[in-house]
Formats: sequence, structure tokens, C-alpha cells
Amino acid sequence: MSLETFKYDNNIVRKFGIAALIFGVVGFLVGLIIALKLIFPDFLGFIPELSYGRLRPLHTNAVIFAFAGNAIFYGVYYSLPRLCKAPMWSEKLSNIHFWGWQLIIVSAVLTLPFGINTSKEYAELEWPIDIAITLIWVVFGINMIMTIMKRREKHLYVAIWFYIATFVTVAVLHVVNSFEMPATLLKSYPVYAGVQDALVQWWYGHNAVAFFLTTPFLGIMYYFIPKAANRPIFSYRLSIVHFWSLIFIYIWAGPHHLLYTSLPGWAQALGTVFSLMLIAPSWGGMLNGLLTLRGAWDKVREDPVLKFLVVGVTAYGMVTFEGPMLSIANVNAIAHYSDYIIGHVHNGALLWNGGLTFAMLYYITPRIYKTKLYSVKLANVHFWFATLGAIFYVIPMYWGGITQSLLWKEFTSEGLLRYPNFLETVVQLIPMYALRAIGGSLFIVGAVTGTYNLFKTTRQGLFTATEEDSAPAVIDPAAGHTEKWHRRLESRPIQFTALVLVAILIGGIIEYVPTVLVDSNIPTIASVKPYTPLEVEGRDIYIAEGCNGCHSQMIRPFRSETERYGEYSKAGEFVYDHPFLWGSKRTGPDLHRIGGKYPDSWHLRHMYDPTSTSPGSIMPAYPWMLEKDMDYETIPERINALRAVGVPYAEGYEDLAVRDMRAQAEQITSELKANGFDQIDGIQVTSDKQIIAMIAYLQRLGIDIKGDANPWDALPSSTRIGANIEEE
Amino acid sequence: MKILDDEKDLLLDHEYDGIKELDNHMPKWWLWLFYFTIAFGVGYMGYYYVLDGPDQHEQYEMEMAAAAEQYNLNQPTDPSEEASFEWAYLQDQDRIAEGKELFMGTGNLCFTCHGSSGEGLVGPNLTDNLWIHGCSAEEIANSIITGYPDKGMVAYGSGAPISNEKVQSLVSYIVSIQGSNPPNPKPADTQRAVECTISTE
Repeated sequence: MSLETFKYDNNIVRKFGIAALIFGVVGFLVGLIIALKLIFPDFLGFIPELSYGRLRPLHTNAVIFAFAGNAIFYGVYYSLPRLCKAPMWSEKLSNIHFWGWQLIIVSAVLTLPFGINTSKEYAELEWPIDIAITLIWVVFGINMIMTIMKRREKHLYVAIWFYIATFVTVAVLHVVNSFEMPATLLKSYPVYAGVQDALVQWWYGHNAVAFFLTTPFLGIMYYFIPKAANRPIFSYRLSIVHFWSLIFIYIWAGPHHLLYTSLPGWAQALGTVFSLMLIAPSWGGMLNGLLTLRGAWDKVREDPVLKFLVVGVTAYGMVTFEGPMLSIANVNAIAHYSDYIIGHVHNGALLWNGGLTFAMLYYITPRIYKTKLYSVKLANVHFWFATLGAIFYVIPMYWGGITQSLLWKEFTSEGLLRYPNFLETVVQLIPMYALRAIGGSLFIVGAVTGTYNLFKTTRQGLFTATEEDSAPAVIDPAAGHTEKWHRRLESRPIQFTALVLVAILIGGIIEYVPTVLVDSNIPTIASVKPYTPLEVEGRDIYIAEGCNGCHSQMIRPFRSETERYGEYSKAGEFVYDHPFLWGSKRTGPDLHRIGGKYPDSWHLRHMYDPTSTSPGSIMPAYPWMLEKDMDYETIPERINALRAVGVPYAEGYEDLAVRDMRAQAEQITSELKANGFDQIDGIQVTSDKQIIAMIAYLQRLGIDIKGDANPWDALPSSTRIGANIEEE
Repeated sequence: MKILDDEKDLLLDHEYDGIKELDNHMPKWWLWLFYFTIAFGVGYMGYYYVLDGPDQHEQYEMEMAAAAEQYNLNQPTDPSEEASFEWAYLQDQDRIAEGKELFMGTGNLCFTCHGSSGEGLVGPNLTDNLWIHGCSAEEIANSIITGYPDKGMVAYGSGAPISNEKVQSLVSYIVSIQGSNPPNPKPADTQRAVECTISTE
């Protein structure tokens, strides 16, 4: 058999590695900044672009898409050609992929801190960037699939199965979750509302964890563990069973983010049981990784690559046990909305994604630079900083999360809330936040040490841009009818990809379609009306500032919540919420029934300086809301876009919207004046400022079902709008 | 690849970039774990959706009923006991100090709306002789206990109920700062407030 020779492109591998490392350190530092802001709210002052709510999505996007994303491509562009015995199909596509992805990251940096943000977690980027992501993802997919088609290896190795599942599922998730109606160049509203939007978002959100932070890294594990340990994979049949069960079951698990919410109970229950069924498929990956090390544990003691791999896979095992436990309803009732979840995700992010990424960097860098690692000792220092840093991060979060949740639920012997003031439960957490910041700092010191070590390694070596290899061509990849069915499937990439697609579509369809089509899932409430134009503006400011990062709008049916916040939230209350703003974390209290709880002047003072009304509050101040003008100009476009996604504003209302907006703003401002609040600290309170829209929105929250006077009643266009809404 | 002696029979005949695979059985305990979670899932769905186990709203009703039972919330409060509480302005310095502590505390948060000296901020000035809801000890106590939710005052200031004895101290403190003329007083709402004289005699 004649051998064909070909060359692997190490350039693209190196580029993705450098990008992962740089964006990783940047993303970690942004995380540290927001961690410090929870201890010292005035850290870095109150600058809009650096406020907590705007930096938090920047942190999550940076570590998920910039750090882990580039790391995935780093691993794929290194391992896939070698496993296929074929270079990447198109060097041009590789480069378009690389530069396109970096441009998307830059566009995130240029939008999120400026309040351009969809509010949907891990999908915060606005619609033009969503389109760019789709295009670049397709470029990656074509390049990968074509490389597979041109392979000189008859069968696809298990790592490639995971890469295929990653490509297919992320494409589906991203496209479906990004159906949004543009209002302006940088503002859109999702086509889904309320309960449906929440379901789609967490189907996406949870499976971003599954198919962006799990499956590609499992593929990476399947390549780098046997390579680094020089040991065969423990069990081929375990690979098959855990691969298919993992991708099939994972897709159903999203609703566990919505337990005890207004999501229909049957969908929540599916989320719970499929999450529990995930333990074994997830652990299958961990077992196959760890048992491959049989007979090689002596090497684990020596080799930093294996150390990072082992800690990473072990952390994966812990997190994938914890996840299902957190999906059990009564465990979730304690952990949800608390810092426990922050600890849980960082356990995975720092050690599993971080660990595997650094393992790859330590494995690949010396090889493509034809040298040895600059310092094994420094790599060990990095390893210990990373591991201890993660532990110091995670444990205080677990501790603080459970503590706070128990405080929320504690009643006195008379049956009253022991801590009726939410703030009293926040103050308890500040020492834990401080410990977390120390843990995070340790992790960053480790990462910087690693960066230095890798940099010195590149200095002492010589980069080999292309690496030659040879293999016999496969004459007929599809031949081999005596093989078992799965073995045959492994030589048919198109069929394999199609089957993956089927496996991942089933769960999503079964959960989503009835939620939309069966009316009884979302009982409507006649008194619930759309937001007024001023409230729409306020809501958009709420989204821009990332308020939903710290405040939920979802009161669960627990006595401890209805006593604290009021009547629990009903599905029918959210039918005009594009997007839903239920939130996933309560660093501050729930806001769903905040409307009417305090006077306007309270909100004015509270937004200007939260400690003036809530001493000891760690909420950032928003002084700029008193100075920045609200946006009257694009309100007609926004009303049109909202109507297009189903909010029943009457035809032509967009022309009246500004008048209504001014009238309502004028009314709020004059009432503030009448109460002696014409200025704060010399800043005049005028009706054209953002704060007025914000107050209008907050005062509207949760009041419609109480049957109180609706703000619409006082607006110039009220009768016309009211009539039209009734008709529709 | 390093292959151990007992693995030779398990080695599969393919390799990818030097990676070989063994054909070990899946661990038994792992398989049982998988079967168990599947069975649990079937049982769970069956309990709630075939046998009609309580949904979250029914669970909430049960929780509320249990709490009502536990704390006697359904018992009508004894009107004689309610009426028997004698509201009064106390002169006792300890009680006034206790009242001030409550006023400035983070539990009821009186000061965030009425000002640290009672001068009024979001809420009205408490140091002048103009009162919206009356100034007898009983009226002030009732204002504290029921609040004025539509005006933005939650019951007990922040929804954190305190004993009548403590309300008594709080009333006494509020009365003690009458006429203290703190800086930056909030102008009275003349539409609603009327003169009311407190007589501590």
C-alpha cells in the first residue's frame, strides 16, 4: 500500500492557543473585578461601562466563548487532522474561522459594557453579532466535516463523535434561541415571550454548558489522556453507550433551571428526571478517562499535563454529580438563586474547562516548538495555584449560598420571617465574597505563571509551522459489511451526523411544542396589559444595565417567598415579556412585586445611592440615570418590533407612543416635585431622564393582577389602546 | 502504547494517531446506576402525572395550611387582648433609647424614609406638629403597625413585625423628637397634614 504524505498546519493551532490564553487571563480578571465590586461596591467608582451589571455578562462571555471557545478550537485543530490523517480541509476557512471568532469577541467587548445586551444569559450579544456567530460557526462546521470526509482513517475515533455533536447541537441551539425581531441596529426583542422565552433560553443555556463546555472537552479528553499517558482507552463500548446516552439525555435537562417557576409542572418534572438520568452518562466519560490511566499513575505524579487532566476529569465527575442533585426539586428549592450555583459552575469552569485547556497548552506547546517545557517546576506551581484557587473559590460559595438560603427561609416562633429585610441576609455573605476573591486571585496567579512558562517555552524552541505525516489512503471508507453496526456507522460521517441531529432534537421538541400549542399551559389573565412606552424604555434600561444579573422576577410558591415578596408569580403575567426577565440569581431581592411597594421618591433616592435607603447595600449606584436622557427617538421602532412579536399595540400606536411616554414621564416627575424631590445633590430631576423611565417600569412590576389602577388609564391614548387591546 | 499483560485479549485492532482502545466491559455498578436513575425517572413521572401527586401549587397550599396550624394563624386574635393594650407615650429614657434603636435599625428601616433625625425624606417629617394620620399614641402605633402600603409605607416600616411593647418604645421615641427642629426638614404636605398637639402630660 502506498503512503501519502501531507502536512498539518500548526499555525492555526498556535493562534487559537494564544487567543485562548490571552482572553482567558482577561476574562478571569474581569471576574475578579466584579467579585471585588460585591465586597466594595464603589470599587472603580460608579462608571456606567464598568458597573457590575454590564461587566458580569462580559465576564461570562469572555470565559465561555473567548477562553473555552478558543481552547476548543485549539484542541480540535490539533487533534482532528491527526485523528483523520488529513490536514484541515481549507487553510483559508481555518483563518476565516480564527479571525471571525476573534472579531466576535471584540464586538462583545465593544457592546456589553455599553449596555447593548439582550439579557439572555450566555446569549447576551445582539442580533448582528448573532448572525456573525452563525456564519463563523458554519465555517468551522464545513471545515471540520470536509476534513472528516477527506480522512485517511476509515473510522471516526470517539473524540470526533463529540466534536460532531458539538458542532451540530450548538448550531441548533444558537439559531433557535436567537430568533429575535430587530427594532434598531443594536436592539432586538425575542420572538418568544415569558414562559416560552424562559424555556427556550434555558434549553439553550443548559445545553451551552452541555455542548460547549462538556462535549468538546470530552472529545479533547479522549485525545489527550491516552496520548499523554500512553495508554489505550479503557472501554470502547463504554464510549459508545455514554456518548449516545449523554447527547440524547442532556438536551431534556434545561427546565431544571426553572423549577418552581411558572413553567408548566410536567416540563419541570422532565427537567428533573432527565437530569438525574445524566449521572451515569456523564460519569461514563469520567470513568473512561480515569480508568485509561491504569498502570500510568506513576506518570501522573510527574507530568503536569496529566495532573491537569486528572484534576479536570475529577472535577467533571463532581460537577456532574452535583448538577443532577441540584435538579431534585427540594434540593433546588434551597440552592437556586443562591451563590451555591456560582460555586457549582466555577468548579466546572476553573478545573474542568480550565484544567483541560492548560493540559492542552502544556502538551501541545513543546511539541509544536520542538522543545521541552521550559520549567516543570513552574507548571507544578501553576497546578497547585489553580487547584487551591478553585477550592478557595468554590467552598465559600457553597457555604455562603446555603447560609443565605436558610436565612431566607427562617421563621420566628410566631411564624414571621426572621430576616424580613433581605439586606440582612446579604451582609452575612460579604466575608464569603472576600474569600472567593482570594481564591479567584490565586487561580489568576497560577494562570499568569503558566502563561510565563509557556512563553519561555516558545522562546527556547523553534516553531514548526507545518508537520509532515503520512498514511495510506482509504480506498472505500464505507466498505466492511461484516462490521458491527456501530463500527459501520463510524465510517459513515454523514449518517453519523444525521443520527446525532435526531438524538438532540427529540427532547427539545417534546418539551417546547406543547408549551406553545396547549393553551392550558399558560392560563391568560385578563387584567395583564402590555407595558406603556415609558415602561418599555425603563425595561430596556433595566436590560441594558444587567439588573437581571442580580434580581429575579419570579416569586416561587413557597411560604418564605410569598411572605417576603407577595403573591407567587403566574405564567399569565409574563405574556408580554419579550424577553422574560426571571433572572437566575438573587444577589438582591426579587422584584416581581416591587410595583407600588415604595413611593417613586424611594426609587429615585435608591437608584441614585442605594445605601441612602438601604444602609450597607452592595448594589451599585446609578447616578447616571439622573443625567442621561431616555431614548424617545427609537420608541416607535421598538413599539413596532414588539407588535411584530405579538404584543397587541394597536396599529398606528407607534405614532402616539412618544406623546404617551412624555405624558407619563411628566406625571411622575411632577409628583416627585410635589413631594419635594425636584433635585438630588443639586442634580435637577427632569422628565426626560432615564431614571423616570426606570421608576415607571419598576412601579409597574407585578401590579396588573392586583386589579389596581393601571398606568394606561392615565395616558392620553388610553381609551384607544385599551379598546384595541380588548379587540385583539 | 503501553499494554498491560491482562489486557492483550481486550485490545481492539484499530488505532488512531497511535491511540488504541480496549474493549473492557462497562462497570457493573455503573450500569446499575444508570438503570436505577431511569427507573427512578419513570417512577417520578408516574407518581406526579399518573397517580396525580401534588403539583407545586397544591404543595404551596399544604405548606400554608401547615404553617397556619403551627402558628395558630387562623385563630381570630382575641379582641379583648388587642383592646387591652394601653398605648401611651412613655417618658422612660431606656424605652426611648430602645425606640431610637428600632428607628435607626436595619430591621424596620424607619430612618431611610423619615430621616435619621426624623426630618422627613421620602416619608413625612416626624418632628413638626403637623400630622397626616393623627398623633395620639394609639394613632401613631396603628400607623406603624398597618403602614400605608399605597403611599409606600410597608407595615412596620419594612414588613418586619415587632411586638406591641417595642412599638410602644418606638412611639415614645418619635414623640420625644417633637419640636427638635432638625436641619433640612421636609416641608409638610399641607393638603393632608393637620395640626395635632401631643400632650405628654
